[in-house]
Amino acid sequence: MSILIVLRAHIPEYRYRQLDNKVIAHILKTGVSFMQILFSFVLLLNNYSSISGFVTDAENSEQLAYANVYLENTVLGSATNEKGYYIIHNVPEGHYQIVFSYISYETIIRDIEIMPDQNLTLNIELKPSIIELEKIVVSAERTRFKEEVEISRVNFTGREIKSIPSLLEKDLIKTLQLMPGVISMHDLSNKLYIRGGSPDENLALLDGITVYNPSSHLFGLFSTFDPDVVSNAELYAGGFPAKYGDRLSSVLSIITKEGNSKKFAGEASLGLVTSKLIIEGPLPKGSFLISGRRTYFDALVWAYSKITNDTLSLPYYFYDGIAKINFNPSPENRFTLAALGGSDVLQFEENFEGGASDEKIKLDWGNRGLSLRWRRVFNPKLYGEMVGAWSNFLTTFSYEDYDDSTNNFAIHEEIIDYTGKVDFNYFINNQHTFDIGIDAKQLKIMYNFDLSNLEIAEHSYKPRILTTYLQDKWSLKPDILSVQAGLRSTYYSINDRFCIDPRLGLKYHFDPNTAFNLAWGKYSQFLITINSQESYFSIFDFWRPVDSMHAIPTAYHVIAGIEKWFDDDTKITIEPYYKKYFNLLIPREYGMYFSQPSESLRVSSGYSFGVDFFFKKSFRNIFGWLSYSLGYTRRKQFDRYYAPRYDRRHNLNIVLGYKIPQSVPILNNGTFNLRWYLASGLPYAENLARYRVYTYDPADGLYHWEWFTIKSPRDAYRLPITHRLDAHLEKEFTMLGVKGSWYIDVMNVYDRENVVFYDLDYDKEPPGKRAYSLLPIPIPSFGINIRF
Amino acid sequence: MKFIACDAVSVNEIDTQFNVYTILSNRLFFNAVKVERTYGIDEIADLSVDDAFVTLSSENIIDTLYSYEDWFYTTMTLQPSKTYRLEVSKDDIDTLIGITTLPDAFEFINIPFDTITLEDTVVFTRSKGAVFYYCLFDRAGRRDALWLKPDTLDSLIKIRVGDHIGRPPEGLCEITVIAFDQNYYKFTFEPDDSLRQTGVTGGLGLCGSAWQEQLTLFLDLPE
Repeated sequence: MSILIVLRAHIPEYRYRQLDNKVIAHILKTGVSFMQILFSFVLLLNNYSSISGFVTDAENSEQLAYANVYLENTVLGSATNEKGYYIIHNVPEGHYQIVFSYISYETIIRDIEIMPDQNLTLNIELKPSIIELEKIVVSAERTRFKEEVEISRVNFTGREIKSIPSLLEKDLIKTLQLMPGVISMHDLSNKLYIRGGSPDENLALLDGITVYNPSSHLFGLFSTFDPDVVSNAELYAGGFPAKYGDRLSSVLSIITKEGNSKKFAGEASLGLVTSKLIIEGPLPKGSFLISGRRTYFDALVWAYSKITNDTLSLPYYFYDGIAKINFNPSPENRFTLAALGGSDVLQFEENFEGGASDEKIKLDWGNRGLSLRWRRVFNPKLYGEMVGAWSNFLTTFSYEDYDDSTNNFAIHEEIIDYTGKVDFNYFINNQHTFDIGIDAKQLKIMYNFDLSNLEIAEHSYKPRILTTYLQDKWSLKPDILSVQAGLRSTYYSINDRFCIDPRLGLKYHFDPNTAFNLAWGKYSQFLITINSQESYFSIFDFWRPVDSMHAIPTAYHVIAGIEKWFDDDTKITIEPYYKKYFNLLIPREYGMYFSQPSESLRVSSGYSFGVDFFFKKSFRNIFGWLSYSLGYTRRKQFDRYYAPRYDRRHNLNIVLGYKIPQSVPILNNGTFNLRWYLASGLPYAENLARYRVYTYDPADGLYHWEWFTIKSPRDAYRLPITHRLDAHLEKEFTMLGVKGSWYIDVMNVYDRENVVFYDLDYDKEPPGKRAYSLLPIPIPSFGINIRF
Repeated sequence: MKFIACDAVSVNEIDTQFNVYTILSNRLFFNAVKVERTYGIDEIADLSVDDAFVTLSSENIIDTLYSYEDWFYTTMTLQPSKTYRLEVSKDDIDTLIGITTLPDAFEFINIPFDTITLEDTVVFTRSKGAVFYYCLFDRAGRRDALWLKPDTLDSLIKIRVGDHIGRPPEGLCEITVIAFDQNYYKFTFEPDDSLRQTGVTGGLGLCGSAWQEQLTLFLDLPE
């Protein structure tokens, strides 16, 4: 009953009448009333024993997601969720041995005695054993396969991300591009095109904070997520549950590390692009973590020019960092304050006649965020999280003329997101688990153009998005048939619109190792981008709310799949899918290289369908996976369907990893990974003909001309197939009592020149077709990491 | 929808089209028309199609243009506010038709060989049918020019000399004003993103026109 009092106290009756918008009041009232009924019902049912608690790392207290917890010689068991929390229901009275296992950690077995109507809290710390990177995912996935009704989900830990070969620096987004259903447009792309959806249809969350431009570092080459602080990354490639919304295609949820609550520790690393430092340690009843990374080449160039008295400079750098403080006043409560920030800065000064600078040009952009999270275990069956978050993406382009300030101008583009949300997981019993939540979002999107310190143009949008969701996972027949039904209801303030998004999931086990998954859902998106998602290169996106003249973009997903485990280390999944889009708002202009933001949008529809295939296997020292996607994507313009530039028919990724045996000198116990991919070509418009376009200059009376081309339809031709081999070698070491590791990557081992686009070479007559690729040579990179 | 779609290519062929460029004007003894065509990417491009049949007509007058050094020429005297039709044809290429209406004549209000200073204004009447003006101030050793898109309500167009003319030299200043039609303006300053064609059908390019007047004044600059 205390829960009801808490809820009522926070939203007393009189508040409803004070709120300006009756709809907001309606949603809150409905949500609270529903929870009151639900919790009352649940309390009546709560007559069974349960075992619950947290599973954490004994060395640093980091939560261990999807650890296996079961009662020996029974069918009772569970897996920890992404927060490391588990619960086993309906445990009869008796004596048991409870087993906690997690690959690369020592298994713990405890004797326990269960009394009638008891809720036993058992928190366990597991000690790390030998690192076997390749098996982490298998074990966690095997447990989730048995427990969860979910489809199209992949999971990575920070260590796994770092073991995948990549360009210059480890990157989460590049790792996700290896997964079925996820494609990239070219060798350097850091965007996720998932099952025919564009990158702006993906929701990116970092510790619950929405990140609006997650791939904005180094002009779009790197994501804003430092893999060294990632604890767990989860990607729903489609069919995501009612807890998530406001995007049409996928959800990427990243949880960062909590900080070592046992001892002070740190990590310093140096890669080809950035240098990083992480410091973590205990606080009274808690922990902290601070991390930062920055490019260092500009500093090296600056130091060099100071020493040599040169004027050399590198006008670009980026940095980002995360700071977290955890406070656990009691085992049931945890407060976490997290802050993230980062920026890319491009700045240079010109002087036309030597001497002092005449002008300065500066472009900077970056993400910032702040969140306060309260996690509470109200009782073993009720787990809740309350989050208040602020997220901001700001970009500024400014020009300053030191001689004439009337020439100065500045452009600001900013999106601010204030979010408050409450999520509850209610483990009613072995048959029902409820998820309920409320999410309130106030957005502020602004654009300013100042000239000579005068404001020339200003646009500002302040939409509100209020969402409630509820979902029940119902085990109709335990271990055989489970259904997950959810409903997401959203109020959007522009034109006072409502969206109801139902979601349905089903899992049927043919046998303990084989399951059929089905998901269906409706998805709505209230923010759109006004720069084309079909351009090869883009640094960041320009967001706008869906305005009053346009309907809300909507998508329907239907996904079915078979998942089969041959043993704990081998699994296969086959997932056909179909997505239908309505009311898409797409910029009219779709530049191939870059895309200018434009408020000129057209309404479109479309669809995508295909099959994703995934096979994973571990055997002794070797592990690997193979992912293959067959996909078709279409959008509509002027009553004609066309293939957008990210329509890739075939996409194959093969990853192989090898744990080097002890007997091999120097490299013993190191890991060697290979990644090979093969993909069919993307559509493009071919140059079919050319003609001269003249202009007459009255000043000199002369005619000037330049060549223009006539192109085929935008999707009439396909680029050649692309393929590439990357290699990664990593080795742990101990030197002078300090532990660390080094790695070497080679991207594009056999020097494949994958064509990104064609151009005409007008130096020849007739002009030849010139192919451009982004990796003309094999690219090595290396890094070293020290832990203290 | 192809299953393979790897190197699969849809073969698209483009029919050859004429590509012309002309600005018919009153101030020339002859007017010139550039006649070219589109070329395949693998074709060597010529400078012109000199064996095309080109005519210029207006009301009851038809003139067949003659080819000389990559251009086609006509000596037809052009009248203000008259519509002219350009036709370009050749076997195996679709006939191109260009239509343009010459802007109306206009006149300077200022008196020829009058003296002006930087404070004075050059005034001329508006040309009906013109949307864009080019003004050139030509003195010995110096030229100053401006482009002008005046308000549609103005019947007189005024240009303050001092706003557009720099310092020395003083002396005779020949002022040339060219009034361009809508076709020229659209082709040059507001082109369509796809094919460049204004005032023509059956092909590409520009069929535009202009009316030109000149005035000579004496520019007096202060000490």
